[in-house]
Parts: sequence; C-alpha cells; structure tokens
Amino acid sequence: MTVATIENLTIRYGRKVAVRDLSVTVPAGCVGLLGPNGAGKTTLLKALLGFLRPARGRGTVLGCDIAREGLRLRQRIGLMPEIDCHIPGMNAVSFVGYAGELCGMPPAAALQRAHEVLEYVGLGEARYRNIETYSTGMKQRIKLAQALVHGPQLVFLDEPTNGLDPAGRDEMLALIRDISHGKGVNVVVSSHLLPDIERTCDQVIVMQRGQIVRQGQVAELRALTGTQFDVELRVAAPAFAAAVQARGATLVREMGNQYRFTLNGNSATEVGRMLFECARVSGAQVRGFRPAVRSLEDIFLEAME
Amino acid sequence: MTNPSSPIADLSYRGYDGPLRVQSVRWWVIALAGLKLAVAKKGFRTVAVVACLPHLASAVMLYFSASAPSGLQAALFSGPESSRYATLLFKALEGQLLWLFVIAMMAGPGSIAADTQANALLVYLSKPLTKTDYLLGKWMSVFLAVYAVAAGPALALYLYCLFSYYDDGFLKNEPWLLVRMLVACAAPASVHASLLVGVSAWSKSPRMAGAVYAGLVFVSFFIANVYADIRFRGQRDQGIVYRHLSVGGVIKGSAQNVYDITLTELVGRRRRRELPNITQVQLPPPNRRLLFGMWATLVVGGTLAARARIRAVEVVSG
Repeated sequence: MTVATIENLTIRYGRKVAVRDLSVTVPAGCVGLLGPNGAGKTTLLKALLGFLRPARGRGTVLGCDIAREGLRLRQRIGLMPEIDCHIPGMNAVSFVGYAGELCGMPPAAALQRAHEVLEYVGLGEARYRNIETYSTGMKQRIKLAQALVHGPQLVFLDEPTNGLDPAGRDEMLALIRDISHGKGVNVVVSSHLLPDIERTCDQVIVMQRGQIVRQGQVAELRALTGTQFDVELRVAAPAFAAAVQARGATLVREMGNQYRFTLNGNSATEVGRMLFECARVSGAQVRGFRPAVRSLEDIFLEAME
Repeated sequence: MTNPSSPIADLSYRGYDGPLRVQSVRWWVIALAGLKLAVAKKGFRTVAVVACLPHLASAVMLYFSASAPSGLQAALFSGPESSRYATLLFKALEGQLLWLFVIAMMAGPGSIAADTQANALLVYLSKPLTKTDYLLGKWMSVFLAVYAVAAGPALALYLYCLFSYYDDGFLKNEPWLLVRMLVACAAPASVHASLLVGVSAWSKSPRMAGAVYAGLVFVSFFIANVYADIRFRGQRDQGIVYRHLSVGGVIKGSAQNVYDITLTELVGRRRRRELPNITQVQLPPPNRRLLFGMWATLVVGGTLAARARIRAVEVVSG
C-alpha cells in the first residue's frame, strides 16, 4: 500500500531546476527521508504538501492530486515543522484547538481533541501555560500535537528530536513509533539523525541531488550479501588481514584494529577456527569476532558514494 | 502513555473521525481568534470605552438641549434640518478618530508581523487554508475591532435619536441615516485594516510595524496640513482636497462624503490690539471621486502589499 506516488516530477524555482524527473513511491507506515543538505528533501516535502506547482510530471498523496487538490490534501496531512512555531499570545490548549479549527473541526470538538492530544504528547500539566514560556522539548511536543489534532492520515515530521535531551528524545521517538504502528497514521520522518530513523522507521528513502538513490525496507537494506564478520584485534595487524585474505576471504573494511571480512559459504565454527589459525600464524591477538550488521549509516554512506 | 494522575483515563492515541467543515469559513476562524486576542487586552477594552465618550457627550448634549434656549440648539445643530443628525453623528465619529487609531494600533501591527516573528505562517499554511483565507482573516480581525468600536456607540446614539425625535421627523428628514452611519464607520476601519496588514506583512516585528504605521499617519497628516496652510495662507475653506491628502484626511473625507454634509466652522483672526474677527466658514466635503479613489488606493494597495509578502513557506531547511 502506498500513501504517495510521484511520477517524473520536475520542479523549478525560476530558472533553477530543483528536482528533475523524480519518481518515487512512498509506502504506508513509518518512512525515513534521508539526504544531505540540498538533496531535495525540502522540495519533495513541499511538493507532497501541495505547495509547489510541478513544471512537469504528476503526483498524488492519499489519492489527492498535488497540483490541483492542495486544500483537500492538507486537510488529511499534518506537518510538524523543524523550526519553532506557534501562534503568539496563546496557551497550549488554545493553540492546538485553533489548529484543529483551521483544519475544519467544529470549535467544541477541536477543544476536546486538543485536551486529548496534549495529554497524549505529555503536555497535560502545562496545557494552560503560554507557549512562549515553554522549553525546547515542550515546543517540540506542541508542534507534534498541532500536527495530530485533526487526526491526519499522513504526518510529516521534520527533525522531530531537534534540541531534545536524551530522555526527551527517547520519549519523542516512542511517540513517533506509537502513532506510526497500529494507529492508522502514516509518518514520514525527515532527519539528519540516522539513529532516530533507525529506531522509528521501517522504510527509508535516501535522496541525493534531487534523485532517489536508495529506497527500501530498513531490514532488507541492512541485510548483507555473503557472510560478513567483524573481527577486533588487540592491535592492528596487517599480517593478520593478509593471512585471512590468503584463505579466500575479502577485506571489506579496515578501521584501526577492527576488520570486516566477507567469507563465502563458511559456517561460524569454521570461521572461528580459521580466524584463530590466522591469528596464530600472524602473531595477532583476537579480542572478539561476530557476524557483521550493516547500520543505517553504512547504507547512507554507500548511497552517497 | 499512561499517567495515573491525568484526568483523562485513556491516553493512547486515537484518530479523529468527527466532521470537518468546508473550507469557505476558515477565514472567519482566523478573524475571530485575532479579535479574541485583541479584546483580551485590558488596554484595548479601556480605549474602547474611552472611544465611546464623543457619542455619549453628543447624547448628553441632545438630552439637555431639549430644555435649552433656541440659541444653544442652533449652535448644536448647525447644519440644515435635512442633515442635522448626520452632522451630529459625523462630529461624534470625528471626535473618536484618534481613539480608533489607537484601537487599530492595538489590534493591527501584530496581525501578520507577530506570526512572521513566531514562524506561525508555517502552522497556517500547512493547514487547508489559502493565502486569501489567511489574509482575509487577518484583515477582518483588524477591521472588526475598529468597526465595532466605531459603529457600536454610533448605533446607540442613532437609536437614542430615533426614539427621542421620531415625532420630530427624524426618519422622514434623514431616511438613509442608518445606512450612511454604518458605511461611514467602515471608512476608518477599512483604511486602518488594509494599511496595517500591509505594513505588518512587511515588518519583522509588531513594534516595528506599529512605529512605521504611526509615522505614516502622523507625517502624512502634518505634511498635508502644513502644505495646505502655506499654499492657501491659512484659509480653512481653501484647498480642502490638499488637507485630505493624508491617511487621517482620507478617512475623515470619506466619512464626510458618506454623510454628505457641509460643516461650518468658526474661524477667528486676531489683529494687533483688536478683538478677534470671528467668521463662519463652510467646509464642504472634498471631491467625492477623488476621495473615494484615494480610499480605494489605500485599501487595495495595503491589501495587495500584504498579499505579495505572504509566500509559500520553507517547510524543511537542509
């Protein structure tokens, strides 16, 4: 199931082409949007929100055409912006209720829903305080509350953990995981913090220079071809690496005293026996070894190459 | 997600499946919110009460004039019989123009500038709103604040006159007075609302917007009157159009045109060792077409300036 489909999208800012012939399908669930600065994440989100008129191509979000049905589209979408934003002079309940009314909710329903959502994001105690007195973490939560108040089917979260302390970050990630799993809300998280994406998202889209360079399930992207092992030595030993390679393994990565090898068709027991044999021959001391796991950072860096 | 001390038992996330209204009324939500924020200020309410005083004073004078000598009545009702109450209402409106300006300064400068400062445009434009909805809502919040303070006491004075002087031919002599009054009160409200949203949209802070607008109003008034006085050597009945080439002048001239009245003013010229030579001068309304052209320019210009500034927002940086 998909929540958004973009086909051959070209978007220009004046003469400058920001995105050329971009085609992407955003699946349902929790999707991470990754990319370096200037990769086109902003433009893609703007396009998905119906802010930009494409020079070429077409796209739909939740069945609404992004070029012609911007209002209908935004009624079903919530946006949590990166930067601090609030309506001056309002307390949290008024602000979130007001956001609901702007989406078309009746005032009484918007107010009731504001109370519910504020409790959900953990601002129940501070709901009558002026937002200008909130801490950074509380401001992040209120932005999430205003994005959720009208019960959107799709929520865009832009750097949702910006400025949060470790405990606040954990709570925010738990909230994101909660709304995006089993609550009928699809979430697109745009973040530079790869661990955040790794903890919350099931799928990732990696962008570079206005193009999608990698997309898929996080679990699939992290899967490795062949059998890879990470080996940690007491001190770096090039002779050890050479001995392992002489036995048919491929050196994938070397970082100080840590090595990653691809060993085709070997079982863990055979690998262990072979590694200790190489250590004995080369005079190296093995501190440990384990099957390698690719992190999202690895995937991201590979995609950027 | 559970908090035993919370008054709401079920703290888990639930979707909203209630009604969502059509898009056409959303500007009203913005206007109402702006109005509520303005009225919540104690200063606003105080100035609104003070702004009613000219009308109250007119009502008190009317009440006592019933038993006053005819000379005093003639002084009070200086215009012809067909426009005596129109003149009364215009003078009351003229008396409250400064307070209406203060009301506008409380409701208007922050209308868009405060949103820009707090990045609230991101909140607004990510909702199902058009730029027009947003602008109309902001414009209406300022307009309604000024209009309510102008029209409220004017309506009360009108009703007082209607019930007190119905038998004296109040409705017969001035049948369109109610409509004229309601339209005339829109003159200050529309000009202040349009110019303030325009200035506010181009300002980085409400304080800056307020300072710029106050400067615009006072400097234009000063220049127009000094120029007219120099050019026409202090003759009040000369260069009427020039005297109205300011924000305040356009408001006053538009209202006078709507009421369609000619004012009379006593002008005294003192010469050395002589008693002042007091004469009565007639001040007709400025050229109607020119005035309404200027009014339309201010209203449309201010609104378009604001519209040009409100742009699709930067959703993500990076």
